[in-house]
Amino acid sequence: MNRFIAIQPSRCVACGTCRAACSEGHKRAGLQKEPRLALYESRDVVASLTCHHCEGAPCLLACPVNAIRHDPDGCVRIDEAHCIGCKLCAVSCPFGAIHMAGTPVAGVAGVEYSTPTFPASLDPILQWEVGVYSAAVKCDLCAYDNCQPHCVRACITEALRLVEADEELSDDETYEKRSRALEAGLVMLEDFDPEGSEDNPEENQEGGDEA
Amino acid sequence: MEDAGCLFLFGYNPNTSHPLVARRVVKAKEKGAKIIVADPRFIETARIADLYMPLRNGTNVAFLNSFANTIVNEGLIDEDFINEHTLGFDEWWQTIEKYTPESTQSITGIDPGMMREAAHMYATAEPSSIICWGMGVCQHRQNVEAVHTCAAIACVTHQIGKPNSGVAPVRGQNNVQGACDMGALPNFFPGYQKVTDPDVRQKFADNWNVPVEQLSGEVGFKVSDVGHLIDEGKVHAFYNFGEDPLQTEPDAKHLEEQFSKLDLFVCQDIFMTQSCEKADVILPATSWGEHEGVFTACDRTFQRFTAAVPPKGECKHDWQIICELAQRMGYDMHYENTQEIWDKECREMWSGAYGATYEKMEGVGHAQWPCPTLDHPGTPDLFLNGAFTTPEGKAHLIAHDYEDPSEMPDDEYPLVLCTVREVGHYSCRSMTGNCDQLSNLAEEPGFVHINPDDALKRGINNDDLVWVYSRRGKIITRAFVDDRANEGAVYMTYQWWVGKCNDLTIHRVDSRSHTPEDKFCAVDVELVDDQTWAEQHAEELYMRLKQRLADEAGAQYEYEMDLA
Repeated sequence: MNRFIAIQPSRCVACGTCRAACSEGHKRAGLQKEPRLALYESRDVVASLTCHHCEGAPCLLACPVNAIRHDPDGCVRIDEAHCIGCKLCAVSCPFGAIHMAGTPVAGVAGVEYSTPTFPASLDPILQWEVGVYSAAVKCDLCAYDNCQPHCVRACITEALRLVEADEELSDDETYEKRSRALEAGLVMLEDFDPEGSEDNPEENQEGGDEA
Repeated sequence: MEDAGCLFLFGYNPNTSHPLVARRVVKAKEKGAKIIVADPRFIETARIADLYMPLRNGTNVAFLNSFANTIVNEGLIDEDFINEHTLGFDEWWQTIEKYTPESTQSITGIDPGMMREAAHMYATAEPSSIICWGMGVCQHRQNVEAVHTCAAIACVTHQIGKPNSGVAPVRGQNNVQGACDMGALPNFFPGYQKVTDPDVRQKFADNWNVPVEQLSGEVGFKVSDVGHLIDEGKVHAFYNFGEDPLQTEPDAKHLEEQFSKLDLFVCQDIFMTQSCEKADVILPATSWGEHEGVFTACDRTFQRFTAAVPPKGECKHDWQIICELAQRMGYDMHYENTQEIWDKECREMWSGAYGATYEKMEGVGHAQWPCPTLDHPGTPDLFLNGAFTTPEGKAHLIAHDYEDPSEMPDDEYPLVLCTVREVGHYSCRSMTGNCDQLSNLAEEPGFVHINPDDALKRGINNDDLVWVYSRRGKIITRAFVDDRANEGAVYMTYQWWVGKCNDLTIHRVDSRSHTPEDKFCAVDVELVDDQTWAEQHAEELYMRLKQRLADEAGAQYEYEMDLA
């Protein structure tokens, strides 16, 4: 079971209000103000992209300090306070939905303004700013606010919505999608056998072990 | 707008300028409207358009003439409407006749087949079509010419004078329409009453209780001319009001030199802007959340707005500042509140606004002018049934020949620079730049959007810092390698202080409206060799400018402390 933010690209007008609302909400909650949605624009499509809250999330498996957990409500969350900034989750995320954010030291501690030591065109995963403690950030479905995602409320065209656990997919469709994702190497599912039937996954998994 | 059968967006990008209009475009599309987008850049609406027409930069008049030509040659005109409600068709056609889609293809780059498809889509849409245009028309050398042709196209196809039809020239700012309505123009009193008309002058002189000789019958200067009028010795004092011309006017470096020659420079603003920094006197005004009044939307809708919080410190409302200035200059101007101004100066002096009372606009109420009587519902559709407001009651069809923009690209400056808007920041950025969340999404030194092929030729990657230079200046900004930008053109927004495109733009205005040619000048782009140095340099430029403005603003506190 998972929940996530979905977008209907034909409705998106690329206004960026979702990103501003995301930033504002997290900042007020004392979290990093970095927006957790990215606006992707090309000639064919425009869409706000964010964490898919994967089942079998690779980021969760990669985290060496268990700062990422899959909550019972179907949301994959990072605890910014426990994150050690190792970036393994960001590297392992198949959707590029995790990146690093920190609070700049400019303006405090005798540092008048920041002195960049790398070009901004450097891959975000390789960026590192002297003296800045950074944490991995990604969509948490606004857990700080009873899971009422601020981006969904802010969207002016109702292009964004919160998809509740598998609300639209039949079991067959879910199974089909999982198989395709697994074959493409996009996800790792420990307890899922693409050859088996999902009617009785446990039994099938055992069968797989025997073979 | 949502109920039209076809929306023709010409030189208008609602997604960055007016996201709420963009929402209406999406709704119109969902209701089945056809969308045509004509723009050199693949703007956001082009993505959902039924037809996207990539015309070349600066070829608006050739394009529109060709569009009009196609409409006539394909038999898409409404002859009854033309005969009954327009004048000058034959003369108009003499010019338009020359611009066949085939003959203009070499200028506009538009395939004749596509032009025909667009003409049919626009002219035959049920129940109606709307042409929307924005600064992509107005900020060109041939701006008024293009507007004339847009209006003529709506007339000959009878896509005007009926509900959900007509022409929709959108405005650059929320209350430009209101400023024009209230006579903040060099040629009109409130309600578009001409200063050259002696009867009108007498009427206003009586209302203001001044001798009629004190009201000039000559049309005044336009703000875009202030710079060279200073050079010519015709302007000695400049009272600048809610604007940062050193950020928003073209060829800003030159304008700064011109301002330095002023005897008196007054700025009325809510923040310390680059213009305020140069001012002799700064009058601190109130922000949108602190004052009340009436805005006019671009569809002529009066909307009342109220203050959320009282003014802070020594700030005063604009109207209070003007009254106090008038009193010190010997004229007893006095009002109790904005309602009194609205009633006395607008409703009583302009019949079209008489019915728009504060009571009618209470809460979310509104009134669309003309609204001449107290029980009048307002006028959503102008010129209904072809009743035009010219002396003859008929629309004048006017055509113009195409001319090239002022500064064409050449070997030295091979790219066209077009100034545009981006969604997160408004105008000179004095307001939105002070909003943490918006700065977080887009920050200095701003961006130059460049086509991937043009970027590749120059070795530029996305997010690299680059020099952009023209005959007038050179600035540093960040490259946004964008497949929506057409080859041969680059796009910059005008609000960045470091990546300031108005250090590059040309100050050339058209002869009628005196609007600067902000959409077309020649530039080139070059990668900065040492990117890390460039990042530091850009940061330093920004911090130094911020510090300078902060010091200037801080001088006031030092003065107060001296007094204490």
